[in-house]
Amino acid sequence: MTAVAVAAGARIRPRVGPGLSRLITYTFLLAFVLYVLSPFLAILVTSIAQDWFGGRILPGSLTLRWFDWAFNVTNLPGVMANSFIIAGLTIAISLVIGIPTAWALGRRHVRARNVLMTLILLPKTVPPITFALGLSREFYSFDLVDTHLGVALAHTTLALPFVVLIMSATFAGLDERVLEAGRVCGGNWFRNLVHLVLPMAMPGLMASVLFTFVTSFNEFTLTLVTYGPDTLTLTVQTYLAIGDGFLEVASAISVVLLVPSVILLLLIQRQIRPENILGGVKGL
Amino acid sequence: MGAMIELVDVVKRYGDVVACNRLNLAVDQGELVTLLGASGCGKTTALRCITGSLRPDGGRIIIDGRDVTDVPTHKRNIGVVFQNFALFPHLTVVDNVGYPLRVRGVRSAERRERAIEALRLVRLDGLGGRFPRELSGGQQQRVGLARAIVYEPTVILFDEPLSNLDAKLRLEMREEIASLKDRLGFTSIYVTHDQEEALSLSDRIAVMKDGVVHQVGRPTEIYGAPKTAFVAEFLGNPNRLTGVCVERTEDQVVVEADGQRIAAIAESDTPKVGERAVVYVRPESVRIRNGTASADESTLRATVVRSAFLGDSTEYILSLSDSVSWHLRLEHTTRLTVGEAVDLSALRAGCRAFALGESADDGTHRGASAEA
Repeated sequence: MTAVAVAAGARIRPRVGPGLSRLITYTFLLAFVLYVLSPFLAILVTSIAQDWFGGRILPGSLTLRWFDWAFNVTNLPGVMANSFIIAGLTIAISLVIGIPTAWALGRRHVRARNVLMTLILLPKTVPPITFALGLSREFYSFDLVDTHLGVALAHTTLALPFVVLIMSATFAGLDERVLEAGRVCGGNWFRNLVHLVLPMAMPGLMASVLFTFVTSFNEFTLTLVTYGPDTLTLTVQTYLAIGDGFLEVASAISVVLLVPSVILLLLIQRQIRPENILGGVKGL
Repeated sequence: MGAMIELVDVVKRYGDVVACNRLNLAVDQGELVTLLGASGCGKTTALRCITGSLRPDGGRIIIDGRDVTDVPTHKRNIGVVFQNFALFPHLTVVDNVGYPLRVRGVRSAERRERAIEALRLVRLDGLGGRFPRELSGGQQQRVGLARAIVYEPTVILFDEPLSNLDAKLRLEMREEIASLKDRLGFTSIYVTHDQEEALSLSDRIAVMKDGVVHQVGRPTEIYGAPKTAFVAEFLGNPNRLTGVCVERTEDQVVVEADGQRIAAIAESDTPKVGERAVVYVRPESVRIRNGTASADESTLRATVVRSAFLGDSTEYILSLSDSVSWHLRLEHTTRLTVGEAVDLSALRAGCRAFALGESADDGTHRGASAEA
C-alpha cells in the first residue's frame, strides 16, 4: 500500500531533465572527491617536484631528491624504526589490557559498566592537548619521557578504547551455546580458547591490531609531549621538517607516513565485513 | 547392570524459584527417556545439570556408575544435540564433527575417517567440506547429530533438537533420530515440549511440571493411564467436563455436570462421592451415537457450534452446556450441521476422573512418583 503510494509519488514528481540531474550529481561528487583528495595530491606532487613555485601549475621537473634527503639528513630509517617499535608496544599493551576488559564487559554482568565505558572513552573525548598536558607532567615524574614504553603508554590511552569497543562487541557476539558445545565435546578451557574462541574472535582481533597500529603510527599530540631525541616518530619528524622550512622533505616523510594507512584502508575494504566478524549460522 | 544415567534428588533453585525439585530418574542402557513439559517446567534445567553447565544445589548425578556431580562438563563424556545446533561457525562440517576427536587427541587421518563415517550415518555424505552457514537448518542439525555420536559417548542428550526446524523437517529428523538409535543403541535423555515427538520417540516419558516429575512411564501408559490431572490434560488434547462425583463403584466413577452424567475409569485416587471432580475424555473415545449405547459408554447431549474442514477430516466444536465445549474429529462419511443436536457416546476406557481440591492442580502432586 505505502510502497505503491511512494512509487506513484515518484512517477508524478516533476522531472528535471535526466542530463541536468546527472550533471548536478556528478559535479557535487567530483567536488567532494577533490576536497578529500587534493591535500594528498599536493603532498604527493610536492614530494617529487622540483622547481614548483611561483604560480606554476605543474612542477618544472620531477626528482627523488627529497626522499633521499629525508632518508639521509633526517635519519628516516631510525625514525621509522621508532614509529614501528612504539606501534608494536602500543598493540601489545592495548591487547593485554583491552582483551580481559573487553571479555568482562562483553560476556559478564558488570555492575558499573556505564561508568567504566565512559572512563575508557574519556581520553578520546577530551581535547587532546588537555590530556597531553596532564600526561606529560605525570610522565616526567615517572621518567617515562623519551622512552619507547612511555610514548607507547601515551598512545595506549587512545588505542585502548578502540580495542575495548571492538573486542567487547566481538566477545558479546560469541554464542554461549557454541562455547558450551565445545565443553560438551570434551574440550577443556584452553583447547576451547585456542580452537574456538580465538578463531571466532579473529576478525575483531585483526581489526583491533590494525586500528591500534594506525592510531599509534599517526599519533601526534600525545607524542609531542612525550617524545625525545631517542623516540622521534614519523609524525613528529614531519612536523619538525615543516618547522625547519623543508616543505619538500616534510612531504616526502608524509608520503612514507601515509603508506600504512593506505594499506589499512585497502584491508578494511576487502576484509573487514560484518559477516566475517561473526561467522553467521542459519537458524538462529 | 544398573542405570546408565541416574538423577538422585536433584535440586536446582534460581533465587526463590525451584526449577528442579528433588528430581529422581533412572535411564537404562540403550533407553531413550523424554523429559516432557511446557516451557519453564524445569526440563532444560535438568538437562543442563546433566551436561554440567549448571551445578545442582542438591542431589547427585550418576552417569555410567560414576558420580559426575562435581566433574566438569568436558570430562563427562556426553554428547549433546542442541536446539540451535551450536555448530562451530569457523570450522568445516568435517572439522565440526571431528572436534570431539581432536580434543581427545585422535590423529588427523583417523579423525577425518571417523567424522566422514559419522556424516554417512546421518546421510550427509559429501558435504564435509562445507561450512555450517552453507547448509540448511535440517542439514545443520544432522551435523550436530554426527558431532554428538562420533566419539561414541556414554550418553547422548537431546535439547529440543527439532524445535528450530519446520514441520516437515521435524518429522524427517524424528525418523532419523529413531533409526540412529536403533542402529547405534545409545542411551539418551530427550527434552521436548512436543508431545507427539515424545510419544513417538521415547521408550519412556517423564512428564514434568514446576520442577517435579508427575509421571514416568511408557508412552502408552502415560497417554492411556495418566496418573494426575496435569498429565491427562497435557497429553492428547482431551475434552474436559467438570462436575460432582455422584457414584463410585469398584470399576467406575460417575460424574454429573449440568445434568449430564459421564462414567470414568476408577483409580485408587479417583474422587469420592460428593467431591468436585474433573473428567478428561480422549477425543478418539467419543463418537456420535447411532442406536443404543453399550454398557461401557456414557451418553451426552450436545449441540454443534462450529465446524472446521481439515482436509482428511472435519473438526466439530460441540457445546455440552454454556460453559463446556468439546472438539471432535469426524471422517467425511458423517456430516453434522451447525445448530444440530447430537447424542455423543463416550467410551469409559477413554475417560479419567480426578478430584478437584481447592485448586485445580491439587491432586497432581500426590501422584508425583518419579521412580523409574
